[in-house]
Amino acid sequence: MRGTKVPDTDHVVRHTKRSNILPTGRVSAVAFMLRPSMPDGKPEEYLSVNWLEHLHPADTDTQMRMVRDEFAANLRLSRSQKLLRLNVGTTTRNVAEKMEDGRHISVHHAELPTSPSHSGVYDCRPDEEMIAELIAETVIGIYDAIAAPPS
Amino acid sequence: MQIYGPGLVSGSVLGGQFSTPTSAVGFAGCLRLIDPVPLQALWAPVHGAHTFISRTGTLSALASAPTAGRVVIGGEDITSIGITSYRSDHASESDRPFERLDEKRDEGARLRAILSRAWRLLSPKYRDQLAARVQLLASELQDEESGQVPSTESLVQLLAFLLSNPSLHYPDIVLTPDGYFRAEWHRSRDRHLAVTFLPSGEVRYIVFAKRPGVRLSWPLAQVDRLSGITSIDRLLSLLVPLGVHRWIEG
Repeated sequence: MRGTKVPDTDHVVRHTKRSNILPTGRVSAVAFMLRPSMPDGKPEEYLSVNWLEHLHPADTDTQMRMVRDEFAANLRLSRSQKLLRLNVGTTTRNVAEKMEDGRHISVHHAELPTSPSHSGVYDCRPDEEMIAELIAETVIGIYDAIAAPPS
Repeated sequence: MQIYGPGLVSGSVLGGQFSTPTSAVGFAGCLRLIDPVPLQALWAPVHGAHTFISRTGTLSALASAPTAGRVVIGGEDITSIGITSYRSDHASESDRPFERLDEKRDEGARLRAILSRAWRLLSPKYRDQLAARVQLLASELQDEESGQVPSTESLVQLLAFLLSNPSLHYPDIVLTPDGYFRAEWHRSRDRHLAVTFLPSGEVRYIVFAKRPGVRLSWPLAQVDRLSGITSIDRLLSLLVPLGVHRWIEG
């Protein structure tokens, strides 16, 4: 069951490996592709993201510090991995405007015990590869998954 | 050096080129290169020059030509397309950027071995870049907890495509979540081609192509956004009406 709908004004981040950020700085759509099968054998239902305003209402630095802590608690992170920041409204509108079927993807809170801000981008199937391309167009920030040490 | 009807050739080859005279009137045929692994199959029309690599080093080819022609594989004429064995000199060990590796050891080693075999055939303009990129992708995937591994068959298809289309700009290369190699040519948001190489020899493609000369008040309508699945040898001709060749070739 889907949780609270994340408002259009809010932001989410998607964790990705460094190779999905291309030498030109462009983000490849593969960063936003669903996995064809999960450990249970079923296709991935939604695209995992983390809801930043759930962690702090406005301060981006605090949001990023807290979301990095969540990732560190759940994943084996390396400095080369990245977090891709999206505005929910911009992303969903871009998909709706450019998909022939006017697709309305939506972002819902999907809290996990070890990841309170965990959320999902739903309704990416079918045509998930095309939708991944359209989501990738709307990345507004690329952050290291592990903050650089203070110089 | 005549081809008379269908036949079988087999032998040991790591890669090479085959060519037929384009001037042969009425010549139309096919050469199907099949590795012992059935997934690795590449159909190519025998017309002009084509480049191929073999995943395992052993190659079988089925040839079909209703009229006479000439076939050269690995620099050697195939003397007849009855049943012929041939060998082709391939790159010496010193030509290879990587040491010989046990392909069964891990997928990364298998990918490096495939690249080694294709090394001599790849354009010097990008082969270092390509090798480094494949190494990075393989190492990243092995680091992940998903247990997903890159598809060696997909890499073979990507290499065969690059070798067969030497005029293409070098693409960005990424791995899909299902472990397939994906090449991306990106000029802008409205000039974008992404091709995922499937082990079967088919490709999944996505193309964003601005329509030349179209002026509409609604700017989004000026861009065609298409996706589909086709065979590797049909892809580029399929995209010609969209003008894609103008920005992926150089």
